[in-house]
This record gives sequence, C-alpha cells and structure tokens, in this order.
Amino acid sequence: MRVLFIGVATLTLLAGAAAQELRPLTEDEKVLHILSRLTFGPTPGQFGKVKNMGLDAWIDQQLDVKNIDVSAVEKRFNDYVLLGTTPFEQAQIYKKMQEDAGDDQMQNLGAFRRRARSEIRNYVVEFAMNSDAQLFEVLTDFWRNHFAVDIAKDSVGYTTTHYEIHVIREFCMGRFTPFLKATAKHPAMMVFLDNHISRRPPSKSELKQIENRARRSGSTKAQAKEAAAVAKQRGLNENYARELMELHTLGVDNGYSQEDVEVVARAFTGWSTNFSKEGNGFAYKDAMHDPSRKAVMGRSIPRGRRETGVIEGETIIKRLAAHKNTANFIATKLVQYLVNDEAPPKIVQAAAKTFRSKKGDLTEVVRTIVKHPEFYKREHFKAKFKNPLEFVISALRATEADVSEPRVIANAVARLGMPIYGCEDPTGWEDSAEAWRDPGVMALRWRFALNLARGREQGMKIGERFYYQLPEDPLDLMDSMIRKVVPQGLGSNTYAVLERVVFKRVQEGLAETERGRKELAKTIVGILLGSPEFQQQ
Amino acid sequence: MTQNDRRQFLSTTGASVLGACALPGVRVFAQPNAATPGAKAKNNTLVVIYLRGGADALNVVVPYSNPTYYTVRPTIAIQPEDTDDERGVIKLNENYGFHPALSALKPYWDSKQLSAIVNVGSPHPTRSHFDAQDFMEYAAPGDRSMTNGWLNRYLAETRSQDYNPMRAVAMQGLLPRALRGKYPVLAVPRMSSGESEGLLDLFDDVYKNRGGVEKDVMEGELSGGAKAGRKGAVDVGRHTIETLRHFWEIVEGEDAPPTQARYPRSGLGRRLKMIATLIKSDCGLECAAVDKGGWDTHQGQGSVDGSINRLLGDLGSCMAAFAKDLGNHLDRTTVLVMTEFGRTVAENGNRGTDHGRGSCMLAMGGKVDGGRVVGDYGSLERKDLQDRRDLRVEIDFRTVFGEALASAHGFTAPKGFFPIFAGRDPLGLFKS
Repeated sequence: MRVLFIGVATLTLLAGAAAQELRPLTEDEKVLHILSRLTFGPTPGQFGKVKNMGLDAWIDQQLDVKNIDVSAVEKRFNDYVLLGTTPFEQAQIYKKMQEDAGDDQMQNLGAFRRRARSEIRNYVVEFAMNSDAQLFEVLTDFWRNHFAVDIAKDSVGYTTTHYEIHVIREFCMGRFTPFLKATAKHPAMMVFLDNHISRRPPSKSELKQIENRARRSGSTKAQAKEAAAVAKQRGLNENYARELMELHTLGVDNGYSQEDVEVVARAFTGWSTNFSKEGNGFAYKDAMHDPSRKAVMGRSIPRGRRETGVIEGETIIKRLAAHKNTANFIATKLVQYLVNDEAPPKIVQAAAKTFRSKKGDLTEVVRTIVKHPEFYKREHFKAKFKNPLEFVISALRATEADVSEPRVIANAVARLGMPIYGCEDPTGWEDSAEAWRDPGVMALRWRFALNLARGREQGMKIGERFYYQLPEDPLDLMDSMIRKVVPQGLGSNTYAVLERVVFKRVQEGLAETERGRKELAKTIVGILLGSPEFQQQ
Repeated sequence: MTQNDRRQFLSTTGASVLGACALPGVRVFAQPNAATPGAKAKNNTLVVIYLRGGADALNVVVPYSNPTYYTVRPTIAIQPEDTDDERGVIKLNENYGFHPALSALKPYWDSKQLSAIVNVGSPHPTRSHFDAQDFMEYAAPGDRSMTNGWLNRYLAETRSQDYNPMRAVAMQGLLPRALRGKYPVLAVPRMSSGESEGLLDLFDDVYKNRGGVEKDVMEGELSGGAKAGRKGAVDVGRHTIETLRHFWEIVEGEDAPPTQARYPRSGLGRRLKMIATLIKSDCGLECAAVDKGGWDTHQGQGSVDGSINRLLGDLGSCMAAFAKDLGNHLDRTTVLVMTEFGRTVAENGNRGTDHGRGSCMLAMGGKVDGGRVVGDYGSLERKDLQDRRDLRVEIDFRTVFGEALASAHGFTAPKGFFPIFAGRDPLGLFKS
C-alpha cells in the first residue's frame, strides 16, 4: 500500500515539474534574492535603498570593492594587539609576554592562544555584521572555507590573524593563482596540513631495512609492512599535496593519481616555517627537499639551480591553477554557494569559462554568476538553508542589534556547530542544507532567536530604535515586524500562528499600553527569527 | 553526511520515534517483536569517555614497585603507602596501583568488572592534541582524508531499514569526532529540560506541515526551491521537536527509570546520569560519547594535591555512580575511558608533564574480563623509552576498539574499517 502511494506521488510530482515553467521573479523579489545571497541578510531599509539605486548599479558597486569605505569598521580594532602583525612579530610579542610572566608560562600560552583566537573571530564577525562591502564579506567566508585551516591546531592559532588579513581578504576578489600561492606559502596552511615537517622520505632500501628489522623481532609479514608504511609517513607527508589537488584545485579524483599525490608531496618538501626571522613565517629549507626528478600528471617539472623546491612547488601551483578541472571545480563550488545547492550547469559553465578566459580573475567569475539570467530563476529563490554564521549574522542585521561583545556572537556561531576557523577537517564545512540539518540543532537556533529578541543574552541587544513608534493596532504592529525581519515573505502557517499570538495578547488586554505592545513585538520577533522562513535565504 | 542518509532519517523519524522506545504510554500501541523495529530489546551499549588533553598514564595507573618512577618524578609521584601527609596508591596487584582519587572504582576492580590497559596508543608519532585526537577518533592514524568517526562507521555499517534516533547520542551540542559522519547522530544541546521544553512548545505550531497547498503571504502559492527549502526547514524543526521531546520524556518523564545513585554535581556526572537513564529505559542506545577536558597538565599537575587529583576524583566517582545506577544493566554496558596520548615519563620544572606517546585506558562493565592490568610499562629507564622520554606504544588503540565493538555489539570490523591496520594479537579484554 505504502509503495503504491509513494509511486503515485512521485509520478504526480514529475508530471507537475515537467508541465510547469515557474513564473519569473518580480522586480522586488529580485532585489530580495540579491540581498539574501550577496549580503549576510538585509537590514531594514536596505531593500528600499537598493531598489532606488537599481539592482545592477548596486551589484557593480559591490564588485568594485576597493572603492567601498570600511574605515568605520576598521576603527573598532584599533586596540587589538595581534591583528595586523606578522607571525614573526607575534612570536616576539609572545616571547615578551613569557618574560614578563616569569614562571607562569603555560598559563600565558593559554592566554595568548585565547587572545589570538578571539581577535580573529571578533574581526570576522564585526565585518560580516557591519561592513558595507557585504558581497566581499560573503566571499571571504566562501574562501575561508575553501582554504580551511583550524585555529585549534598547534601554531595555526597564532598565524590565522595574518592569514585572514593578508591571504583571504587580500586575494579573494583578486586572481586565483597568486591566491593559491599565498595559501601555500603561509604557515597557517603549512602547519595545518603538516607540510612544514614533510621531508625527503627514506629510500626503498631504507624501508626494506625497517621491514626486515620488524620481521626479525617477531612481527607478522603484514605488521612488518605496516611498520615500513608508518616509517614512510614520518618522512614524506602527503597531506598538503593531496588537499592541494583534491580540495583546493582539481576536485576529488579529478585528473590526478595517487602517484601524482606522492610526487607533488616530494616537490613541496622543504616548504616549511621559521618564526624567528622577519616575515610571515614561511621558510624554504633545502635540506628537507627531495631532489629527485619529478613529473606530475604526465608533465615533467623543471628545476632551478638554487632553491629547486621553491621552483618545483611554484610550477605545480601555476599548472594546477590553470587546469580546466580547477576552473570547473571552483565554478561549481561558487555557484553552489551563491545560487543553489544543486548548482545549475549553465551558470557553472559560464563561470568556468570566465575563470579560464580572465585568467582566474575571481571578481569576474562572481560577476558572471550574479549577472547570469538564470541567477534569478524562481527555483533558486529562498532555496538555500542558512548555515550557522549566516543565520546568526542575518538575525543581528535584520534587527539592527547593538553588539557590544562580538565574542558573544562568535560563541553563538560556534555553539550552532560552525566555529570560525574551527573546522577540523581540511574539507571545510559542507555547503549544503543537508549538512546543517543535524538532529537537535534547531533548538539552539530557537534559543538564540528568543534570547536576541528579548535582550537576554549579554553583549547583544536589539536597540530601542528598532521597537520605536510601534503601530497602535496590534495586527499592524505584527505586519511591520514581519516586513522588517522577513521581507521576503512569510508562509501562511507561520502567519496564522503569529495572528493567534496577537489575538491572545489582545484578549488578555496586554496589547493596550506602549509597554505591552513592545513585549508583543519582542515575542513576534523571536518567533520570526526562529521560523522556518528565516532559516532560508 | 550523504543526502540519502539525511532524507531517510528525516522521513522515518516520526514513525520510529514512537516505535522505538519502551515508553509505557506508547507500548500499548506497539506489538512486541513486531512494531519495535531498530530497537532490540535489552541491547548492549558502548559508552566512550574521552579525556581531552592527554592524560598522564603514570599517575592514573601507578607503577609503584618501580624505583625509577620515584626517581624521575620527585615531586609528583604517588607514594606506595599512605603516610601522615598524603594518601598512597590503591594497590591493584604487586606492581600497579590506582591514583588514590580513583578509590571509588576499587570495588569494580575487585569484582572483576574493571581493567586497565597501559602502553596503549597510536602508532603515529604526533604529539599534537589536534592530530592525535583526530587520528584516534577517526581510528585512522596519519590519514587526514577520513571524515567519519569510528563509532559512526559502526552505526553506518549496521544500520537497519528503520531509523532509531536513539541508537547513539552525544551529550553535548557538538558531536565529538568519534560520532561524526554519515550516520545521523543526536547531539543533545546543553540546556535544561525546562528550557528545552519551553522552546519546543513555542515552536511546535510554527513547525508544522499542514499539508495541502503551501502558501506564502507575499508570494502566493509556493514553488521551486522556496517550497522544497521551506519543507526541509520544517522537517528538521519537526524532527528536533519530536526527538528532543522523546529524549526528555525518557530521561525526565513520569516513567523515567529512577536514578539509583548519587552523582557528583559535575558536567560528567550530569551527562552519565542521563546516559544511564537511556540505557535503563531500553530505548535501543548502542553508543554514547562524553568528553571530559582539562588533562593537559603541563603545570601544577601535582601528586595527590594538584589538578590531576581533582580530575580523577570526578572521573572515579562519576563512573562509580554510573555503575551503581545501572545495577544489573552494567552487564550489558561497556565503558571505555581513553585519551589522545600519554605524557612524559619524567616530570618537568612546573610540577607537570609534557606531551608524550603511550598512555592508558580503562574498560569497565559486565563483559570486561576484569581485575587485570593489560600491558606493562617496563623499565622507565631513559634508554628504554620512546625517544628517550615517553612510554612506548605497545598496544594499538584500534585493537581495543575492535574488541570493544566485537564484545558489545558482536561486530566484526570488515576489511578497511580500520584503514591500513593489519591487526594485532587479541588482548582478550572481554569475556568471550
């Protein structure tokens, strides 16, 4: 019975989809669509501004990021100690902290880590909330996730501030090749993916020796082989090489072999770190480099006379960045991020084409995507589930919240499962609705929504101006809150629930005073922020 | 997590939530043996307690008969006998003793329901917390491409048609890596049942699929991605409401099995208490994970006065309360206590120890072939240590994981379950 039912339902759905081309978005809906995808959520009033300015003009302005003034946000970080410093300078600051502290060194290490972590997280959160260069902020989040590093790992904790400012923000609307090179030459990436300790592997005869030794001491054949495999790991570390191809450029199993991974790993031996010299902490160490001749994906790698490893690595980066699979892979991910979890192939093709013809100019790739006629297809409208960062920041923007403690916001995002610079896997967070729909997690979103609306969480508060001059009529009040918080429209069920809430308050005589209406407004805003509609963008 | 897993889990939630657990109110409608899919009656449970930070094996399972131990740890060693000033080890046999803060566990040692495993750890030489935890919880040392935790892999390998959301829980808002992966696992957000219920009630009406035509106040009839998206959001909210209500109903509802022990008022105590309740209610719980942090004792670790004393005191009394609370249910429960690595054999200049290699684990439960110290620290002379400073890794943690899964769930790890692991001679940690 059940099988039959499902079969019929599926047929009906298919028939419906085939028969009906969805109607185009209205001009107003287009503005809302753009605002929900190219910003961390609209602020009240932003809709009107963008509409007046004209959609294309606004998009062009956002793409011309150098001419957007963000000095007001920048100023908030004047007293941050570590932001803007190089990893070398940070090492000096840390050394001084240790000297000042005397015996209590470990405590100091903890304090230093916490400081570094909170500075960078606050920075990300403040810019996402307040910067006028919203598209830029949205894109930083994409690339932060594409070139993911985890602040919890060893020295990555100290070098991430520099990585965010001088790699991610510097290049994310620039060209891909120098971007990729900058990540490869940053200690945050080198340490996160273990390249700094990767060295010339033991030779075959050395490995055989290890195996024989294990056999002599009573191991089984399989165990001896494993001992050799472990010894091999201790020399050459393939992490960076693998992720460089799988995650940063070509895409998984997309044009390279396991052998290529190993050769690329050999090429990058010697790309390491040194925090005691001026600079960003990158250091090439020739003694660790594997000098063998190399060919990757069927093409030999030229060698230089000096610093062979630098030349080999840079050659590989250039080739990978220019590979057509890289263009497709980056285009697909960007379209997933900006348009729909199921990336529409036509937009992907157009974006990949731009990537290749404009030599990896990432601003032009984004321009191609957002100006593509299919971008405005109704099937993409409100189709994406907000990730935790998008949910939290959009709630704060929608309610024009005053945030005195950005730390509180960063913590809220972390509690919802997406700590900034805290994805343990080099894959970054998966960009799909399914990935964020974890059992149990909605309860935490609801709690955040209510706490924000009712001003219960320390460090963030919806300002008086948001609840200023509330309409006398409770239903008007409700509508005005809906327009502010969910301008893209509310489902009939949520609307009906809100109406019941309003009627109940009216019946109880609780909506007559200014104060009563304000309480009602807070309840409505809490429900709106927690509603299914607000989870979508 | 693949889309299919998620979809299956969302679409089957409603039915399974009602069918899975032995709630008296629900049992009326359930046919025994037929309508309780996914939940074997009286199944076994594997509980993992992860000590984050690298616990110092030598001050947990103390080699009190080894004079070198006292030489290299002049201020933090645990004395062999009680003195006027401080307590000595709790002797387990002629060579080993527990830290005195673990005294609550001694009865379980005596009744052979508790074993210690020493010189256990990972073949990978990393001394990074991050990598060592990663490699251990994914049970794939050196392999950063693994993204499914070992317990999650077990759940995925043994899934049945009917999804039971209570097969595994993490008592924390974010899943530990061991439980992360393809198989959807409930992470119980940290909030009181009162607050949780308040939220669920408030949003109950908001998250309803009323059926019929889905309308938008502004847009009219919904279509395209907005329609699918709204439905997806409503489904996950609906699922959250049902699963958490179900969870709280089991844990704090009228028919919740009474708690039979006094737990310490700590995070670990609170979480173990809830896990015990789940086990006793026969809801089909197979795996649970809890974390306990603070083990990175570089300074002020102390002997019977420092941080490790406090940490072990909490751990020991929480585990003892858990065992007492479970009563006969301990027979079908296995607790594994683990950590990412051990610490340096010698103490450092701050009455602490630094990151090392080999460590220890504890196994408790009715299936444990207990009262034994499995493994041997050996001499502790510098020349005999790993890199002249750390305990050697003689027992691969994956051997322990494999035996625990086999004992608790009759699960034989298929080839590749533990990547590049050839396997070791069995330790016989559990009764056959």
